[in-house]
Amino acid sequence: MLKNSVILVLFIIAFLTSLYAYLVVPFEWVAVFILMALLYGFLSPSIAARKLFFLAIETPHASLFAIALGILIYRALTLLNEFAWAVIIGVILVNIVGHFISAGVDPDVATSVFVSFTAAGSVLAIYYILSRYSIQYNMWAVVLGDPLLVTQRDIIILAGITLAVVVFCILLHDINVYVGADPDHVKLSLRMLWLYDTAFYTILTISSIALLKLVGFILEHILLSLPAIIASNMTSSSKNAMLVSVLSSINSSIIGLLIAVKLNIAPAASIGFIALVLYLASLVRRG
Amino acid sequence: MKKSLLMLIAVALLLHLVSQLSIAWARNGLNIVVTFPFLYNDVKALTCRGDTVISLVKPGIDPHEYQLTPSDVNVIKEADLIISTGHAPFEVRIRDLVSSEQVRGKLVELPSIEGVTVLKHPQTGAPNYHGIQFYPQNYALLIETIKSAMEVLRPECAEVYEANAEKLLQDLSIINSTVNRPGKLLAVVDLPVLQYVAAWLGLDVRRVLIKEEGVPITPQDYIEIERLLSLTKGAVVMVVRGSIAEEKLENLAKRYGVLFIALPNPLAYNGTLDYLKTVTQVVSNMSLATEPSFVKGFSISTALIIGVVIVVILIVSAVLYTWSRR
Repeated sequence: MLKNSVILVLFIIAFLTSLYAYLVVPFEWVAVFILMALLYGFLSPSIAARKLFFLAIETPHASLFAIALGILIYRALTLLNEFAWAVIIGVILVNIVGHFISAGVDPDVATSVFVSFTAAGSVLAIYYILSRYSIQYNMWAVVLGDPLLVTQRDIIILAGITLAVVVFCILLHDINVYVGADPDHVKLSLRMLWLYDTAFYTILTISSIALLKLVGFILEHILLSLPAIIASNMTSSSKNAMLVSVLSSINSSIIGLLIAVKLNIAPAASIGFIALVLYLASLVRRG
Repeated sequence: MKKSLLMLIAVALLLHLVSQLSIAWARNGLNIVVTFPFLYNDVKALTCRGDTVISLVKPGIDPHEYQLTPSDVNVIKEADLIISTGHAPFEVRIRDLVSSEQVRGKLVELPSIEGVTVLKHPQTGAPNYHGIQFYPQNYALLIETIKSAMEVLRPECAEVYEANAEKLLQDLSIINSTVNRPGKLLAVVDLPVLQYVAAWLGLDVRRVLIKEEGVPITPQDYIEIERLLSLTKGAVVMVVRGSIAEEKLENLAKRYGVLFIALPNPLAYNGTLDYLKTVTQVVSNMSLATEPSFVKGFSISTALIIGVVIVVILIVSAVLYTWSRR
């Protein structure tokens, strides 16, 4: 592992910046940013391996719609809670479009139709929320993200989701790579492929919905896709790609947090910029 | 038979005449539109017989995110008097409609009333236009201005308006004299709207965690609030109940043992005076949040640290295990 100089440099930077952040900013922030980085760092290579970037970019749209609709359904039925409804709706929507693509529908067409539906639905649902229950729900936090207001309960929930995503991504990494590289062969040799697909779409949706309030709708697009793209620029091995993705995700999150503290700006913005800088650096390295 | 029929027609005509007269009477009254729901009861309390008051935004809806509907524009066009706090986007639109003479009614904007105190935001230094009327002196000026405008528009009811305004100001005076003020303490609030309430209670607001409606908090604001509470003896943390920052600020108040006041959301109220009465009741029962419990300056419990560390160790172990298997 340490033979790879890129991984070593990324690891040292991640370790030192995390240690520094631990000493100078409230621990809740360090905890939430590291957990968030781990989640996206592990999830992103799985998305890349399956060649599902288009679906990953669409997922935040579905999550926004699911959250808005979840609020309206909860207010109408007063059953379960807003988050549970959002997860139910989001999982159903993303699975529908994911399975359509798996069945052979052109991904561009499927995602275009899906984005149109969820974007229009979001506008309508948010309009109803703002005109009926706006003082109880802060929709701006969902769009812009507000990780600094994270509570201890949020951290525990995030830790649980992160752990589930990490275990899932590691255990199924090989299958995800094969599905992306030779889907026909996998379809012939794996009887329960639809179950793996469903599990992947479900975990992707739950991660997206759970983190929407923390990172916001806008930044989620970047964090789902960039770590794996950075990794693919830096290494050709699938084994190392996962590690580079996780380390670059941690670096962009923690350095972004430290810059936000220094410049007194919203961390969602600085994280996005650092991720972009890392991407440009990876391009330079690839030459 | 003929006589009975004639009598029936006569009664029907009389009833019709009475209904027409009552409609005419109602039309003689003023049509008043208020923009924010918390102005409704106060303006309603000023009215004379036949006057009508309509609140564009209903209680429970955040007016900062409200957009005028076509029916709202019709309501505004019918209004004789429009009372606005003059800062929400839809209120700016109303100002434009009045300026361009598309609306005939008289517009009263709270920040433009002479003598009104507009506080400066403690961080940005910009004027804070949120909740100006919760400062009693401003409320009194608002009531006087509305009353004068109504007297000009409907002089025959001037005495009624005068008496109603006097009653409102007496109620305000009672609230003002009975409220339990914590003293000249430093205060931290979660939303700009509470700056005026805090100022009324004699508090010196040093920080507003959420600088503006819908704006994400920045790290230095939070760190500065934590530093302020840790260094200041006798500070106050005041929040709007149910706001996204409530739990965070309550934890800080508990940790540093400072006074914590959670007030209801003013946007859920139909009247300013009603809200000030509620504030009076809440602050009369206030007490220290909890005992202070310092954890080496870190804002987290030991159990949570252990939990997060375990999660991280599990994750790293899983990675290393997979790594070694390949």
